[in-house]
Amino acid sequence: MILLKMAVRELLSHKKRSIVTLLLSAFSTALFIFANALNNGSHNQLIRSSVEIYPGYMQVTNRAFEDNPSFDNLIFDIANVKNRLQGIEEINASAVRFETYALYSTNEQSIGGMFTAIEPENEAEVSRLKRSLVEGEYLTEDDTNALYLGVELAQRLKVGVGDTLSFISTGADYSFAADNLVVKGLFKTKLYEFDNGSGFVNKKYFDEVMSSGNIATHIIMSPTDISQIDTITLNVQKALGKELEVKNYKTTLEDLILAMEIDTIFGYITLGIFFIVIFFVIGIFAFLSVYARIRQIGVLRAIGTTPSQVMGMLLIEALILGFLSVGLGGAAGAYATNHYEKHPIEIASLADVDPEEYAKQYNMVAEVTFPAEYNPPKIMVEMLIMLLLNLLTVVYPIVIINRFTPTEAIRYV
Amino acid sequence: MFNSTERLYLKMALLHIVRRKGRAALISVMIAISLIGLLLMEGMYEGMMVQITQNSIKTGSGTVSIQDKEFRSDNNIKYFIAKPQKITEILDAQEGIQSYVIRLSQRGLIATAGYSQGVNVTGIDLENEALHSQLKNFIIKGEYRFGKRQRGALIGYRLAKKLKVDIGKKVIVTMQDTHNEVVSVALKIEGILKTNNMAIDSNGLLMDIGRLRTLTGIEGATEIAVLLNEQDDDTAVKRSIMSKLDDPKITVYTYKELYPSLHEGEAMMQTYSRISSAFIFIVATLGIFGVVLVSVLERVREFGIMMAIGTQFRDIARLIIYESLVITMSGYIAGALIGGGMLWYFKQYGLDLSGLSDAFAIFGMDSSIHAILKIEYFTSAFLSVLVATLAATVIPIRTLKKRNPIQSISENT
Amino acid sequence: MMNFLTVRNVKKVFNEGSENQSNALSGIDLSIGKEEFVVISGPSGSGKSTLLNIIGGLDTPSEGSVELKGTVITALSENDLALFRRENIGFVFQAYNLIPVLTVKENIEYVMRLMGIAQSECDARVLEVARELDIDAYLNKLPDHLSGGQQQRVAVARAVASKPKLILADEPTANLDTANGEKLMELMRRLNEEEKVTIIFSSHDPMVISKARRSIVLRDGEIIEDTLRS
Repeated sequence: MILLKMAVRELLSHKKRSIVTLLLSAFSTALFIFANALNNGSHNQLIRSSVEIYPGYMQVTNRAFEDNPSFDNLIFDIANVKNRLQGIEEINASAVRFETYALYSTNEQSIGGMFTAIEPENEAEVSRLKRSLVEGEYLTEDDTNALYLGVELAQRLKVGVGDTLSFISTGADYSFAADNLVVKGLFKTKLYEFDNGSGFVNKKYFDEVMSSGNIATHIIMSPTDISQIDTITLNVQKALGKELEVKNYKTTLEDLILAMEIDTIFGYITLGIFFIVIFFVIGIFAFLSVYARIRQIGVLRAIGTTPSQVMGMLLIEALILGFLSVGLGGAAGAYATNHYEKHPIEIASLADVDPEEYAKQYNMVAEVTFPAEYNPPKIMVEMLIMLLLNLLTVVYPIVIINRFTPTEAIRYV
Repeated sequence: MFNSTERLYLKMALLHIVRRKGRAALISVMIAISLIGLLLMEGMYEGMMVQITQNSIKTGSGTVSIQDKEFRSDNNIKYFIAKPQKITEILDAQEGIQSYVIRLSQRGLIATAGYSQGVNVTGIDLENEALHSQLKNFIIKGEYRFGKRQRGALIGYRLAKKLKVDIGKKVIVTMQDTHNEVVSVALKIEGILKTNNMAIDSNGLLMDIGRLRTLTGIEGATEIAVLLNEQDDDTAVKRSIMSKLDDPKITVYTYKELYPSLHEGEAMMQTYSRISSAFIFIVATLGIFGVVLVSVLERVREFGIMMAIGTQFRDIARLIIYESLVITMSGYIAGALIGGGMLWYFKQYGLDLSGLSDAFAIFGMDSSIHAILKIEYFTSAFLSVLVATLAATVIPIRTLKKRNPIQSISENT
Repeated sequence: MMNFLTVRNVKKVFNEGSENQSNALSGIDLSIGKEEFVVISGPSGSGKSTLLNIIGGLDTPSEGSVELKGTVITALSENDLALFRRENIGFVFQAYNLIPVLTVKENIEYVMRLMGIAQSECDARVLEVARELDIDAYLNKLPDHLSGGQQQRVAVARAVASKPKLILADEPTANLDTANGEKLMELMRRLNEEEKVTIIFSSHDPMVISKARRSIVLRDGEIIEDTLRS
């Protein structure tokens, strides 16, 4: 008790030093929490968008499709696969796709692009394709000859909603397939390459012209719980058997996830340099505060205070400052994190940067906002780390002070 | 350089530092470590930015690029440069030019047996290109050649991976000619390129320019890419060429105009570095301040005695400043030597991160990062340390003056 | 009868092996009985403080041993030594050495609090000692607000409050005027007689030396005189 009292009085008798230490540590805590939250939040958003815009969380293909994406390696009995998928509770929704390429032609232009058949209603459950509509209408299950086209591709083809163009492609039976299509709607996903090279049609119509009934290249699924995706992937794989291959976004978007990790590492490097300096300064202040008291500590030792009690007293001081500053910084960081989760930071307000231009360069989704991720358990862990760092700053002074004998300490000038 | 009293002060400063070596060491180490961190951060980040820019400039547009005015917004082959000779004559006479190449690009569709996708077809002259962009060095598989009767092609490694094609395999490239007719050509893959320029790696196919001219029926070029001796001459050279050219249809772009995101990225990185170092030095100033204040206050009597025997207060102030400078500058020197040494090493040998090369490639970087080493880093850090030190001594010196050292001798302590 | 304190062949060498090696104590043998009132005198540098520090377990001898109340304290660990000092020894320093952030009362009760004595008991003992030393008016003040004489009395109060068996005082009157010095010696004598506390202190003040019953004189780290007065 008396040691606690002394620790508090010591802090109060050097108010300026305590306040500077406290503010530095509070600032670092807030910075740490906020930087992590922003990093996680924006990466998660980028990954989520990248996944949800089109690729989907999980996909089924023929096992041989990845190595040889030819029409010999398709999913040949969709009905059967779908049946089996329906028995799996962890799967929320699934949609069938047939992806191929076609040459889109108008009177003036011919441009190659992705030509994909989708089940319009199911597709809306597994991707943001429907939500990306910017003009005209999305596809329906009864559509024939209706094309849902990326805005950038439409611009290059110089077509708009209601215009007609034709496509040339190869059917699932390797026959030549061609027909006229009317542009029904235009979409913009903010993924430039995608908007610049894709068109979609209703699968029922597609099956007629391409002879692809009950056949698909992919089945896209969305799981009920994304955090359990690896387990779910394994379960689905087991249910579907060896012929088919089940993958989730961690595999299909491996590069993007790795890129985000690298970005995180760079963030930590900068943060690390900041922290080294901040904690050096906090450590220096702790060191000076202990050195100013060497005599006093010598006396305390002389009259019967044990070295571990001295250590305890110094640790209590560090703990008090630590708790206060981490609490303060934690509250500020949590508040900012919560705020910027609801009101993400807009890139345009940060610098004179055009996010679409930026994203185009790196072939990523153009995100105009950076949301933070408000995650209280994570914040608690981060606060605990900062508290430990605070305690670490008194380790050196404690080691030094315990090297003195009481007489040396009392005589210290 | 120092007179005898100054030498004496310097000696006193040194002796006092030795007496309190623990705290002096803390400050020196703090400055050294933060300087190492800052130098590495600046040098490596700038190295990355330069690398990304260089990768885009070298194998892409060059430092300046000459094109038809409409070509950039609408990548249509009909916007071609009909008489490149007229421009090359100007370029041959222009000063400051390292090399230039004439290229012809058209978008098309690339197909293998079962898979096809959009592609950027660029016609080049192998020999010129080898001299200009060292394209030959980017071959990771196969040969740098177009083979018999120019029937071969070079292809980006990501595109090759996606198409599952390898050396010796054939691809069919379909595109539009100048009369809007669809033309196809079969090309044998002779070489696979890894340039870390995403436009080539993910989407690029390179073929002989003569063959592409025959195919498309265009005798000219779509772009003349120019590399300058000095990258910063871009605007001046642009102006000079524009005035000599005097053709309203043709325009010259600098790399900053072509890749605005790169330029913005560089500017953002610089601002980021500046804010970081300002922050670090402000925090460091606090640490220096704490140590100087304590070391001044514990010597009030000592200073009093010095004044009693005839030392002027400004000499005492000088002594304090010397002492602080010796401590911080030794940190600066250590940090500059170690940090500079590390940067020099990374400049010579690069920081090898080949394990992450695919992810780096997304950002347009090579797997080995070569640092930049600029004198400016050291001079600006030197000034920062100097300013931080002087700023940190202001309050302690004032406090000392208020304490009136000469009177403190007679006071009983 | 067993001695209260036995010092056997204690040597202390500073800066051993270096150029400025100095022998502070060169083989001291000394026995002190219970309830003795001893003064150690001698010129500056004779080893008075070093001997007191070694007896109090604040410093370790280069050679030899110290046995106090049957415990060889030179063999104890830092931690056990601290506990031993807490229980058995009270210190009075020349420079008072009060804890600046604690009030007079807290300074006095500090050792008792470490010993885990109940607050009510502490309060009573503090009041008793403070009255005795005439400092009960300043109990809630911080040491900085007291005069030198008052501070030294607080230091004595701190040393005696926990009822140690031995009080060690290193030049306790050096910073006091004659009147205060005499008062302090009177107090020490009373503690010795009434509370049966063994007292050992160092001094080179003839007035102080004359108050003690046994006088030991040191020179160059050796005992050159050891006299008992009646």
